[in-house]
Amino acid sequence: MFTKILIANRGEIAVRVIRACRELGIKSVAIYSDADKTSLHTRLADESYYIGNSPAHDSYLNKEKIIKLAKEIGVDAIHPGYGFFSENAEFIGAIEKNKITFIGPSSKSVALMGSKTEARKLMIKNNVAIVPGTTEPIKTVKDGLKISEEIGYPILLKAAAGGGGKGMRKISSSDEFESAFEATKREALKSFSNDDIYIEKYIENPRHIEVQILGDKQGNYVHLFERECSIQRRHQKIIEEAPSSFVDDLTREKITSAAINAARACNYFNAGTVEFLMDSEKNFYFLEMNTRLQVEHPVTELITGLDLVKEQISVASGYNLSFKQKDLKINGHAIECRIYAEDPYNNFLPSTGTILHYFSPSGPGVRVDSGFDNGSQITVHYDPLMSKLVCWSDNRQSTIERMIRALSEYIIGGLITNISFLKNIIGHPSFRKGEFNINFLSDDFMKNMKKLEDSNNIRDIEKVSAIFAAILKSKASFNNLRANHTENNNLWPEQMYE
Amino acid sequence: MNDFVVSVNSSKLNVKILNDKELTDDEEKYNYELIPVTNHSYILKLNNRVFELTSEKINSDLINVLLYGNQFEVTVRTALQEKAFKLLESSSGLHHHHMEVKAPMPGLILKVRKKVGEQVELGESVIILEAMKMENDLKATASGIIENIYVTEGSAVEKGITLFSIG
Repeated sequence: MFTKILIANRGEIAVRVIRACRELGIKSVAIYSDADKTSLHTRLADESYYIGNSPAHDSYLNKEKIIKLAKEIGVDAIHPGYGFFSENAEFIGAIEKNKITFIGPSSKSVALMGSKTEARKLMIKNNVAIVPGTTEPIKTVKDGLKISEEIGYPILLKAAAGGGGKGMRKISSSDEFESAFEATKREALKSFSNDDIYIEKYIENPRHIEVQILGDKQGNYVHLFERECSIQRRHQKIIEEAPSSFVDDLTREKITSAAINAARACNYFNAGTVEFLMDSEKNFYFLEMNTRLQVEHPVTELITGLDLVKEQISVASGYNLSFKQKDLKINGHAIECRIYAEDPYNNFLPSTGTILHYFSPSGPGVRVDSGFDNGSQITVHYDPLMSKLVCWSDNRQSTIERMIRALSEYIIGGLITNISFLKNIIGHPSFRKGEFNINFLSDDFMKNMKKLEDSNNIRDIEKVSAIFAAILKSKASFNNLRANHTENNNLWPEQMYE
Repeated sequence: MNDFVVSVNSSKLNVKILNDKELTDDEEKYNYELIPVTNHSYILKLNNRVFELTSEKINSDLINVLLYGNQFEVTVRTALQEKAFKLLESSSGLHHHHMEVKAPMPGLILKVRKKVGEQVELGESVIILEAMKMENDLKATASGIIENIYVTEGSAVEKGITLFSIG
């Protein structure tokens, strides 16, 4: 087993890995940027090292510096979390060369699955159904137009090196093609340093179903059932659950064995997720494989009783999987809500600022994985994910009630969050009935939701806020209330450039 | 002066602070108690209900209030200030309709889709600002003519900078 693990990440996922290390008796090492000097991961690790300026390419994406540090301080293994270097085959290759263990798959598997077009070819070869479309990058607008015509609109343009919902655009007709082609290429180059893009048939109103798999270095595989992540905005998940309310036993059997085939096809080891789109007839198509720990891994942990990060560390150090498929069963139901600093009613625009007041929910069946606290800053440099609220109960309905209860307790003051929006989705009749797909948060839905929110109990809340403001004003305390704001009178609490 | 006119979203409420324990609004009388917890958070007791609020000041009349995950801008004026404000508003007469759109966060101007003098409709995309690795569509906040565009493609902007104006 390892003695010292460096966590090449920040925020809630760095905290998650540090906690696993502590429970396993392994020393944890955090790296931090200027913006994270006082962050939770910097505070909780056994050792913390300053790595560079706030922009990610100076700090969390500074490959040379991270590897140099790891060697200097005698680290056995590096855990990448998700995002940053987690799916970067070049980084993983460099670590392998330096005789440090990467807690994740081999650089070879990552490279194979990292190219969406290569992965699609591999799946065809291994009899895993893929979404109809190209398996080669599109070179010119003219080629793209021709292929799109053949497949039939609507189509999706996707970055071959993409993931996490970035670098992806829907095109409904040929006149939209050229500008979307350019924008997707631009975003792909920016986000993934690779502007290869390909075309997929746009499947109408599918659900997003994914399967968690785990493999050891001896070639043993298990699946940890499915997760459903159909509630998305900007092609990014915001609510995930396990098991899916849509998947029946027979479909589960088929989709989990397809996932294991996919993993075997690239000689995969460690934790990975095979993502599928499922149509209304329960036909499913391989979308991509995420060769890392997922943001939403806690819902799987809660229904299986396993600790995925500990399992990752154990198989990375060469141990066999400690259990077999027949030892696993689904216990109860789990839902995760991603708490983002963003304004749902302003195009989900990220919001930045200082957390002025933080109170997180607790009580039976509630888990909060957070990287932030009172006084923490949400900056423009990183993803606006603040925390994950995960609830478990013995069935889906009671988990929904528990989630609504927990969201009601959650207070994050100082910036705009999606907390009340999440509560409205979870309580929505269609969500309760399990009737939704990846287009659930359509423009129409958003408009109606806003109206609903405005007409509901908001009157009562407005009234209390008004009374509160009047009392404050009547006291001298109003004038003493500390301004957390610049004078230019805009809505956004200032932080970085103050 | 303990008569206040409070505006939240589109509604207005008259609040009279009677003494340090009682107040009335347009409908009823309450017993109240306000306890500061930190610089920005308060416990408010209204009759038998207890609320936890977070607040930050924007200027002498305007504060941000967060309650149950809902964030509002709340304007509080004394009854006298409100009268003066109304007078001022009506005497300024027909003021020119003019709207400025500011950068909501620092970022990079990726694309400027409109030209000065061009007609735009409410909600139409004018500028694409890249921040947090995402392309953010900055839309027209009103229908009208683009009066001015203050930025060019490829330029970096600070938060709060005026990007364009609609007249």
